[in-house]
Amino acid sequence: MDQHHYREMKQNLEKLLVSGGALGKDIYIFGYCNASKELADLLMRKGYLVSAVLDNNPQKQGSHYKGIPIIGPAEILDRDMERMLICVVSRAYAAMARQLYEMGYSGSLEKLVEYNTFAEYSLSPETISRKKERVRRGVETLARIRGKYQGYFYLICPFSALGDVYYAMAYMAGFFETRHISKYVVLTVGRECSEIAAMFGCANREALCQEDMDELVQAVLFTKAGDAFIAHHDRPYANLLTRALKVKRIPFEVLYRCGVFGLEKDFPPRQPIALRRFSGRGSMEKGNCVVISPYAKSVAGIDDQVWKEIVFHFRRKGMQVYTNVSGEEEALPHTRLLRVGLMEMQSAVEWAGTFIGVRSGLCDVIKNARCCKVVLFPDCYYSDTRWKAADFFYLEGWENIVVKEGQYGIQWADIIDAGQNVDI
Amino acid sequence: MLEEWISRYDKVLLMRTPEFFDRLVSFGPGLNKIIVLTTAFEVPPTGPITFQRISEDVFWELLELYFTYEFSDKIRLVMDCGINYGRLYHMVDQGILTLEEYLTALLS
Repeated sequence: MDQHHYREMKQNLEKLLVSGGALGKDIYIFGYCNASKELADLLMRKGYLVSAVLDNNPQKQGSHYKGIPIIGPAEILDRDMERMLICVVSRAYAAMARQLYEMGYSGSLEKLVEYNTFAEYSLSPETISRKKERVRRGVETLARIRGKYQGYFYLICPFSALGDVYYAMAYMAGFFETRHISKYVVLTVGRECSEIAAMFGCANREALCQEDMDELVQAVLFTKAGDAFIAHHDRPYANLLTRALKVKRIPFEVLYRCGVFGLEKDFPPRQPIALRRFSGRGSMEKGNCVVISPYAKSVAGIDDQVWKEIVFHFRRKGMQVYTNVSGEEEALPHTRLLRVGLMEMQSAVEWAGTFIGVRSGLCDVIKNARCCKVVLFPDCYYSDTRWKAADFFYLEGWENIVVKEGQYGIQWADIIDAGQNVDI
Repeated sequence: MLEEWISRYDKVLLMRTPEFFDRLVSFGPGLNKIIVLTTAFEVPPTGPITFQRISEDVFWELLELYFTYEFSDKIRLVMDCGINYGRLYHMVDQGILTLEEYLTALLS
């Protein structure tokens, strides 16, 4: 979960607890994902017990997270619903709420994060009116951008995720060729995503906040704008691409190449052209350092103990260990802080010699770096599919390692040293 | 009417053209409750899948509402043009999914 949504979740939870909304309640969380794990951790730190996590994916049911059982939603029906509080931190809130009420759920339900401003499962005149007003605001934003870039094509990266923008940039050139587009603007959420577009040489870029972007995307749909294209694998809701994962394992990159842009299976990606040399070369010993990147929002995190063991292993070998951070992220204990711009990141890890990170968009950004690259995956399923995160986000040319819960010990370091793929 | 379709059916398909009707019909048994709303002149008789002809006006009204916000996760829009986002059918074009797999994914 990104820091903005984490803060929102924390604030909303605080309000709920202060208002007594959880008093005497059995707390459940709907949806077993990275965000729900963070909510469970937060609740447990505050001394609350989480009775269970509900999830529709049969592959996830029966497992546990820190002792909390993952169960099917139907299992709550024979429990005392009046005592229940179900918290949701998923973008599928509207669908979850509908499912619960159709099942006959009568307890409390709380949305703690506004992840999905597109969905509201109601056809009331009030809802329609409010959503039309939202479209109107989006049309205004679109008009403002059209006014600034007249006669341009608008390539929209609708979500703040580095990997998503990376693949949109890598394949947009092929898409533009088929449509004979030469003048274009890339619209992203936030400065970091805009930097990815800059890495690919995009001179015209506009960074919006997520709320404005959602409204703009809605306006592009509503007006059927022929001068705009929403380049994402599962946004907005009308995009059904990830449904393909219900029937087949399709790698993340292929969803972009073939599904989003309609390019042929072997169409080559464009490489970033505007990378910079690492400016911290003077303070880092070349080839004898490890850059660790423990933070991600698209997949669940890796247990702290695993990172501790990795840090310990490399320090014992006499190597300098760095934690790559951005924003308010903190360095792992006994490591140095590395705060590097995205354009310098490939050069930085090449200079260091070794990169070990949880699977995040940063891995896509440095996927072509010439150094030892190890990516760690939590042993979890991707979204509501039957594929593991490692099946979907596997990286060619990297050591891909699946970390099972509770799997500690020195063997992790041995595996990294030996350069073996595990469980893939 | 829309509320009734959404409450009665598990999936509501909005399809302008009849190109997948035969495949859908052969696909039908064993499926959940599905209704196909279409402007095509000839629709197959209702079997495991309900086919309902709607006017162009109704189609465009539904489309306008669909593009205003996500009012249900049961709606599946199948259009062959005028789409300014990624298309599931590209996966068939590129040989990644068969037509059967495409329909299975669409109805999932």
